[in-house]
Amino acid sequence: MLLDVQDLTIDIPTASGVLHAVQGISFSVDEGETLCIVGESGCGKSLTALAVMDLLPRRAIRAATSLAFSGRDLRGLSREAMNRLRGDRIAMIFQEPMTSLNPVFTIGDQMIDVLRQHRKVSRREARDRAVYLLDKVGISSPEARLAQYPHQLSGGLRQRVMIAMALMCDPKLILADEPTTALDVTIQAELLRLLMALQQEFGMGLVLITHDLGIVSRMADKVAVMYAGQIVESGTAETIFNDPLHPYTQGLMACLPAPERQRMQHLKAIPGAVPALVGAIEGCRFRGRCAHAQPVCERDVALREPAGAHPYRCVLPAETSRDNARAVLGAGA
Amino acid sequence: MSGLENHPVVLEMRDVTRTFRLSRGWLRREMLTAVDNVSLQLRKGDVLGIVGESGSGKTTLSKMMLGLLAPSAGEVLLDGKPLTSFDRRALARRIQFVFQDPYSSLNPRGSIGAIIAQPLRIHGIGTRAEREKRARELLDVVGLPSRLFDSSPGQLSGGQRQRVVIARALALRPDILVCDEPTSALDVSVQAQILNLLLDLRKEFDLTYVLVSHNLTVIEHMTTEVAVMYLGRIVELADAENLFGNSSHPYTKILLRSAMTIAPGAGIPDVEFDRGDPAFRVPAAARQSR
Repeated sequence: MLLDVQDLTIDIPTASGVLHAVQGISFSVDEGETLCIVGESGCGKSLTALAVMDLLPRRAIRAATSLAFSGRDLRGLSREAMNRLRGDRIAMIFQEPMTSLNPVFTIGDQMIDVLRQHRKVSRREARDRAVYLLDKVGISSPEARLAQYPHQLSGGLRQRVMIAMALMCDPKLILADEPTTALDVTIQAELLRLLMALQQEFGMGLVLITHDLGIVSRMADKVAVMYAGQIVESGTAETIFNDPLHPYTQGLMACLPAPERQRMQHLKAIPGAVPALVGAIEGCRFRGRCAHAQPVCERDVALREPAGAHPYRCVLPAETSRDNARAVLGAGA
Repeated sequence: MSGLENHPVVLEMRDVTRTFRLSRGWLRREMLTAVDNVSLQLRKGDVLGIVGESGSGKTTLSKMMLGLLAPSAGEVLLDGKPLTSFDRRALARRIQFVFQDPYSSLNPRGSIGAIIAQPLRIHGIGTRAEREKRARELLDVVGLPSRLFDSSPGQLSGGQRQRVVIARALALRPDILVCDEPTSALDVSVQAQILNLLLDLRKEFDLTYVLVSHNLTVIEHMTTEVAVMYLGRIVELADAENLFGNSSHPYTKILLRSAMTIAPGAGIPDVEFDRGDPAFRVPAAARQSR
């Protein structure tokens, strides 16, 4: 197992109480595998990636029963050891490339630095690798690009540079947090194709964090659906999309405009908004927005895996959930 | 055909061009043509979708429709009269807008009630009590509970803020609403709520919409007519059913292919194209006048 996370919890003390941002989530990624963590704003998906990288805000409190990368426990690692791992064995790609690119250094300097921080190689060798990777991510005249500054590149090109930079040390795992959200749709498609191809070529594990169900359905091997700090459903992409069992997953799939829906007609919106996660929280986090909520939902609901189903966090029997899915998504589900 | 062919044209753009002067370096000056010779007609009851990528000119175009930006050439007509012949106030009572970001478009110090009533106050409409009554009605119209009347924007979720923005836009009873990416800052579960609201309001108040978005599935769901923009030009203009059913333009086809609908295992579509190829800028065969 490349990355194994068990029972990860993130608490953030705030003026109005403790924010329970992530409440005991578990997932794993193997080499060559793509795990998509999907959810909406505030569900805890971005903090989860930061927790793995030990990049949480200082006041956040992280706990886990396992947080292991290639069999190595990350929990007790010193800051220096974590720094060596980060950018080397584990790389990260953020939504906004300018958060990771330094505006006052050239692309070339930054790429070369990344490699020389982690490997004993000459500038010349590091430069060659930078050129090789810029070419690999589809950037024309890579030699000339090395001398450019980040602001001289378009958003799409910057994100390509980010991908090339993430690959400098030949990482085993990439954590990508909404890597294409700010980009145009055609550029988004080009970059995601590129990411998939590179992942296959280099056999990396990929954790892709996104709110976009369409992208998840097309890229994921495994999917974890997060809502309000918890995983509410997990499984292979095929099971999640062909057999969604949690009312939230079903709701997400049903509320998207899509070519097969009746145009100019109401979409099946999920009513209400995400609950606050500050202070004591109990019961199913989704019950306030759920059409199937019942008194029993006021007690905490465990992620369970009944026979013939994948893990989901709902009191409804799988068969009832499947009936609901057919009702909300049509016969195709 | 969208069934609106016989409705009167309310807004028209005739050969509209808008250029901006860019300063690059000390002495080099370049002109950017953001909108390049665009003509279109908006009929009563239309929902005109404007779709395109960043830099395609869709926001510049919508700003010219609102009279917020003057064309460098060509003209914009409202009810057949030049937009410039309307004073700002008269224009505001006909056309209103909803912009993308509900987080920055509301005064954080105002109460929700005061924000919604603001256009009425500025236009000197009604007494204080009448304005408050109307603001409460509008809260209800956009599906917000009346207890939010005295709240501040900071206490509202993104979806609720966008409802406030819409309520404010409706205060002067405009008949045209220009919505620029009205849901792209929102979560998908909330996006559907806002789109449903826009559909309801259209029926209830007989509104005509311009909907600007990069999101093709939203455009497909919500519009009667679609203009596809690429590098400042409308490369295809057709009724929505036709455009999504059988587009002939190469750029439209690429846009359609790049939409990430749910398709387990389908992979990411190959949409690579030569952005320098002039063929993409050539408009599809001029439409037969409908």
